[in-house]
Amino acid sequence: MVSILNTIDTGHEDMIHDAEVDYYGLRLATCSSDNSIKIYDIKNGAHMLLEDLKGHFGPVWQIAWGHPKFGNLLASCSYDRKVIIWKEQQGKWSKYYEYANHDSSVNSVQFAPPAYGLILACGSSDGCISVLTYQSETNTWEAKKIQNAHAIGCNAISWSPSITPEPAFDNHQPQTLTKRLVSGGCDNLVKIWREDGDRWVEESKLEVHSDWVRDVAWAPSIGLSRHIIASCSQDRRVIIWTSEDCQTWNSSVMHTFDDVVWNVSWSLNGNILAVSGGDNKVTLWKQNLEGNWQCISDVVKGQGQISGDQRAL
Amino acid sequence: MSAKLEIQWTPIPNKFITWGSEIGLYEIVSLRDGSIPTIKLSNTTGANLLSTNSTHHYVKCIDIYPKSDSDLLLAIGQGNGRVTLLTFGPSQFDSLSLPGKEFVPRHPRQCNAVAWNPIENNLIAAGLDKYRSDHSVLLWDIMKCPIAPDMNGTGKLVVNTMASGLELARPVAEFGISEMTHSLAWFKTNSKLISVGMNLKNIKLVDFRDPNKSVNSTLTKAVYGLCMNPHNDKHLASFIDNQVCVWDTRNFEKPIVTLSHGKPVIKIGWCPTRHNLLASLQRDSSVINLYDIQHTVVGTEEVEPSVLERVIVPGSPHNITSFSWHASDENRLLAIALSGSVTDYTVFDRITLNWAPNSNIVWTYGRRTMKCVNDNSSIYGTLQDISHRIKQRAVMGYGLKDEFWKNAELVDDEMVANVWKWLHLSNKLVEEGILRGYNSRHPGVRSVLKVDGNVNKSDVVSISWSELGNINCHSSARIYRHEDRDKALHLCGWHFERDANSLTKFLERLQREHAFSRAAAIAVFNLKIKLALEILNQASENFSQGASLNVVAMALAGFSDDKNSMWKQLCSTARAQLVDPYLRAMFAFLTAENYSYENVLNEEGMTVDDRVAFACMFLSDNKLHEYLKSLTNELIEEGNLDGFLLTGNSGDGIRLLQRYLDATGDIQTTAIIGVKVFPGEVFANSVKEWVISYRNLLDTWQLWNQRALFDIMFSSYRPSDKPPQQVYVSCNFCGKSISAYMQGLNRGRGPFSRMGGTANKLKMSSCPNCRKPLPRCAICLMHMGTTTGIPTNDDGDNRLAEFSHWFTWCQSCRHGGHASHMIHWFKEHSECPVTPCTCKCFSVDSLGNEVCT
Repeated sequence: MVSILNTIDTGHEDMIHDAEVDYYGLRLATCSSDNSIKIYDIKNGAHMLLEDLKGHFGPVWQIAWGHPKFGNLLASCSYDRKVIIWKEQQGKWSKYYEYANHDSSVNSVQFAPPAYGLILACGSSDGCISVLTYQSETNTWEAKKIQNAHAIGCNAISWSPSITPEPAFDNHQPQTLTKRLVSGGCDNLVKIWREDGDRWVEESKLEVHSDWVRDVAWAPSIGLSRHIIASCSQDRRVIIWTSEDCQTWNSSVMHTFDDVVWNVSWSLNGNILAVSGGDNKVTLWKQNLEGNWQCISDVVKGQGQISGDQRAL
Repeated sequence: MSAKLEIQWTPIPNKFITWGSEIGLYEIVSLRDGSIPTIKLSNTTGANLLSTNSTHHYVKCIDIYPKSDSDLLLAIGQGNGRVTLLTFGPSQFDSLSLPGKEFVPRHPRQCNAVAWNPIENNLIAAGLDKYRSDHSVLLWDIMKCPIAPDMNGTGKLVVNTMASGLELARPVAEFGISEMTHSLAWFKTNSKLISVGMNLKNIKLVDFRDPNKSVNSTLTKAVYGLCMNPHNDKHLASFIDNQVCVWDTRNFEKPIVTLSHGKPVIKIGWCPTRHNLLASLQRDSSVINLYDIQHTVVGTEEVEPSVLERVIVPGSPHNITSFSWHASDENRLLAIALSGSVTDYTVFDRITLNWAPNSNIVWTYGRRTMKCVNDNSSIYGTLQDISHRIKQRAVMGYGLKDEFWKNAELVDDEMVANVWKWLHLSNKLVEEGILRGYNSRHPGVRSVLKVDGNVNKSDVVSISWSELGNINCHSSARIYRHEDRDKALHLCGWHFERDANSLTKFLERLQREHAFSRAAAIAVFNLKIKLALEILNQASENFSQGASLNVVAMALAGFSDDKNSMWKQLCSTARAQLVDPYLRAMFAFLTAENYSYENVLNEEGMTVDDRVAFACMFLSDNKLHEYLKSLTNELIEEGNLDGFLLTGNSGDGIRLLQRYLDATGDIQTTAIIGVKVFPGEVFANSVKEWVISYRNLLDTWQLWNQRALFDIMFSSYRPSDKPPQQVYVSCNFCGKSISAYMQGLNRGRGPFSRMGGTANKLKMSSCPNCRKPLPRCAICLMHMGTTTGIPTNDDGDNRLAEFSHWFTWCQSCRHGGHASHMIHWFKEHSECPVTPCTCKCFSVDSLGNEVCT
């Protein structure tokens, strides 16, 4: 069962909080409570340590890769209230930009879809969300802050996919892109934010969870006609939110688990949802033609399971 | 005697002790080995009782010698203040005469805490109740102690009389005169330093080399259960009543955090394998609270500490009285309940999880390890992730074939393959002129029948069954005819209406494919009952899977349309039991009354083509239009691509594709059909979105060739949407574009037109504008525009446009040369061919990745 899984010993000295694979799937970055970020080459099943980035003074909660069209960028956020953007130049990683304008631990970072430009969103325990936009003319980062996005703190953010024509094909009708973010926080809420001129406004407030929202994930849109968001919470539930127009959102409880649900992540085409929970399981869920969500990793149990990985002690 | 049950892991990883009225030593066994242990601890582990010791009745506290690797040495603090050393049976400590040794305070009172020094392992600290003029913290050295009088090792009590001639052990150090000690904890890194909770009012840090003055102290009532963070000597925790306090010894005046509990706390403990994770247990509770405490000092500033609380239920519903963290196993703990039942529990950390763009799923597995599944693993295939299939299809060149039917051969999905076949068919019919004047290459049945326009009057032809040789019949079949209906039948693949020969051919093909029931049903629908009988009989004779069909043939042979005939009644009832949808439909057709064929039309086991074709033959105009409308809506709603037959490349077709995409996520088929089938002028926007999404996918997978081929295909269908030129080749000296001249050249204009019309004669090695030479190839040192010099087979390959002659350069160091030279060079080298340049051009290039694999 284990042989078909790749195992990577990260060498981190404390708990790993996040692991992200870059756009092309060639490199893996991990971050940990030991304050460090590590980058591995995982091409062809190898795992070679390329870089060990030290620059944070607290546990590093989350990392995010930038789109390769902006160069090799990696953003990280930490308990030390800082957001650092790292850049690779000539094979060496160095600090590219540091943002230290949060009053508390920064819990989540994510780069916006490349069509919007080079933009990073950060969610913090001080309840605010920052949106950092790179201005190529001045080579600076401009920060906008959403104050009091979530009482007690924001735990997770996720960008809406950009559904936009490429400029090369759209010569006659320039469309303005509407940037949207979803965030989840300690106030048990999931909120949708929309950029309106130079401000970010709260577009929807989704109230179903009964405990801290741990993670939110806006499904990648591959030409789909609707928006889908998955959120998970300490209330042990995963909720799927769908909307045609981003105005009205319908919620359905995908599943109630036996324990806290930590993370949700969509497959590339947004049709399979991976869920990790406090029961130490990773399960995969897919919507069947009737619209119900089914655990498909249980279906394939006989052939080698992904779920039910009891930690080898 | 204390009813309180305590539990503690020993330094031997698979052993633990419990103690209350007696001390028990247990060994953990795995249930996987098939052994049946005395007690079960979890689904995978149990424990066997190895030994018990009940000689000590007033055990107040126990600490275990930290260096015990094979045998255990326990220090037991008792109600009378004595600290006794204990072993289970014969041990390595016997030669040192340690078992049974006792350390006796001058004045008996309760011992509240014992603690082995973690570095100088021969030292034990004992914390005692208050006695008027005696010290309450005594430091004993086990090696400086008189031998116990009783050498049997049974731990017989030493009678403590000051008058006895026996030399009593003297403590190495002592302090805390007239004070009361509640708890003790050694620092992990400084063997001389101990923290002591005293008098219900302060915690003192004492260097026992100078015990009379404390190094540091704080005023607090939280003096119980002192414990040192195993990963950070600066943090310690203690509790009182409902409160747990966490202290930083550098800033000892006030706690970093105070954790309030609903009920009195009875035990706390840092997790040895996780940083900053503190567990606490409350009285009369079946849960353990975990606190992930983050506290960092950035520069001089102290960041506000954050505490993440989590509650775990170690299983037992009974009240937990104690727990113990395992020293090395990640997040493992034992909990013991009032009833004495023990639970082996592992606290699972947060699993972070990410689905990478290349279909890897990565998640954390424990503290250090990452697990990932990638799309090469067999397990991934079982997930049927559509993106994985899209990738495989893209690599095979799916969607790039000009002939529609070739694409059908590249997909494993029958529905998608059928669409391609239908697109091929409809395109052929348009090209052959059978379908004309629809302004579309793929008209659907609905537009052919003009369903949305006026109702055309069709001719009704009645054909008597008896004339067709069915002697039991008196009525006749009613067939509707119209030229539009004929066209529709063509689209359904039923192009044999008036041509018996093509029907036979069609049926023969079906028989070759072993679709006997379908062949028979279609024969019947074409009123050729005899033919159907032949088909069924042949099938039953020649093929094993058709064995039961002769029974069907028998039934069919008795066809009668007499309403009251036995045959009709029997068939109507038996029909429902038939498994094969075509056989069901066949009998439904024959037993239908008043020309209402609902049972055929709604037979979902039949292909959509056959149902539509049937409807085109046997339904009146109004009914036909109604049926097609409802069927179209149904199929669109389902996202069933079979509906293409009805919609063709109309607006409904786009809706159908969108529904198909929503249901399956198959952006590839959607985008490709969108490009190939839907005219660009009308459906530009929706198709464009699909194309962008599909391109992004190909980019992510680095399928550059496939993406380029797709783009070429896309521009051939959308000439107006040609992407603007993105790469310009300009002269190093004058900065003028060279490619502009090359383009002009093709059109026979520009300064080089006199050199000859054909491109293969062209050798442009200098800037056409300023006449300065173009850059040289780093390998052959020839100027750009010259051929590579490697002779090629025939003249046709010698064109300038040939890729191997093409000038290529590294995007990062800007060195380059003829493509074939470059590829040749990088087969043996990793660095740029230009001497001082150390750029690893090829590994930077994604092509390099593909060549390597």
